Amino acid sequence: MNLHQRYNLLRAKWALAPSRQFKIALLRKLTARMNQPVAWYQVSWVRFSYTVVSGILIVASVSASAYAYTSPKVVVGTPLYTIKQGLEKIEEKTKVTPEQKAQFLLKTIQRREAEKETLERDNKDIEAVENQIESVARKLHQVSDSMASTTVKSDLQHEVVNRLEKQEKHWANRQEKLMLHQKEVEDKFKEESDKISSSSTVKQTDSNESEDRSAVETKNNKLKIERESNTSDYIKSDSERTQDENDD
Amino acid sequence: MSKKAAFEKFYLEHIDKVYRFVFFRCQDKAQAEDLVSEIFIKVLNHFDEYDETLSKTSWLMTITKNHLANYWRDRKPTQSIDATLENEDMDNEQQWLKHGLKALKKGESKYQISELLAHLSQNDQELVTMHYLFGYNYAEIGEFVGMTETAVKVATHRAIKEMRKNI
Repeated sequence: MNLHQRYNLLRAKWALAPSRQFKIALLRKLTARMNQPVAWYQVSWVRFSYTVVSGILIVASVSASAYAYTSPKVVVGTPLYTIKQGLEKIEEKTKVTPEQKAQFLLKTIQRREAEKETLERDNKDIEAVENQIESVARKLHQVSDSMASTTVKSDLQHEVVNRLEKQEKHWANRQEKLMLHQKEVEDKFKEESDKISSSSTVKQTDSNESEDRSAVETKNNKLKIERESNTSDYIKSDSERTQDENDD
Repeated sequence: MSKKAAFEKFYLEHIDKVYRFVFFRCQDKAQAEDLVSEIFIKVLNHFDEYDETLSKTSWLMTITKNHLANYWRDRKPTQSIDATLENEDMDNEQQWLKHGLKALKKGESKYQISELLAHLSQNDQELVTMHYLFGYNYAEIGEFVGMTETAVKVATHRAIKEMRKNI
């Protein structure tokens, strides 16, 4: 390369160079930035730990929701049960057609029954779950009525009918048990009243027993009322259904 | 050496090269200054995370190239159609040399640089530009282009010889 070329390249290099003012100003700016105290949330390990913690929280909440939704071990009274119910409510709202609703309700009943089994295994109260099954079965009954007017998959309809029949049988068994219990209570009450009438020696004790008696009577009346209301409800729904079937 | 002193040393060593590299591409003084400021702020923010086993020049070059690529990508939607057509080559990172030489021809014709380089292959043009215009040494260029220092030196001398022939 001759001198002229070299000179030309050098001039081009100078022409591309930054101005002195710019270099100094940028260095000052960067130095000032370096001297600034770093906010605690800008520290790299804090930011990293935030990312890790939020990641763990997201994974934990997603897995907890998934567990709550699928596991039959999540029953009434457990902390995750609220999440389960919430998710089921959301799922219910996404079901639009009667077929979808029926499928969802069938699935819900199966889940409640699994929960019931878990509760029975643990010797816990199953009253709440049974009531929930009842209410879901009522909903299913309503949905099956609306399904009857539409053309639906026969398998699904068959399944719904089977489920309702099973539910009716279950309900009848429950009623029978309730009546037996009622009878036991009445017998007990009779025995107690006989005892009271035979031993009328001390007035004080009489008055106490009369209080017991009135308490037993009140309890008895309550049970009777409950039983009658349940029976009438169910008979009503059953008769309506039979009426509909006849109409069809 | 404190962090401040280390950074100042690094800055003074590289500011000219980075500025030339950026200015050669965009040919706009104000724009080049903005871009170089942003690049050095990025460098400052990550100065502690720098891996000592790697070359600092290569690290800085990677940051610069990525920043410029992001800049051209973000700039695209705001350009007019004419400007886009005109700067089509410029937007492509692969075409930086072509565009730079074109701009050099327009603005600095008296130095005859573009005429000198026009007869060289693209690789040779790149080597000569990097060494003689931007000021990178042979070892640094070798790191960028994936060649040994000796190979870069030989290739650059051959390119210069070629230029001499064409005068």
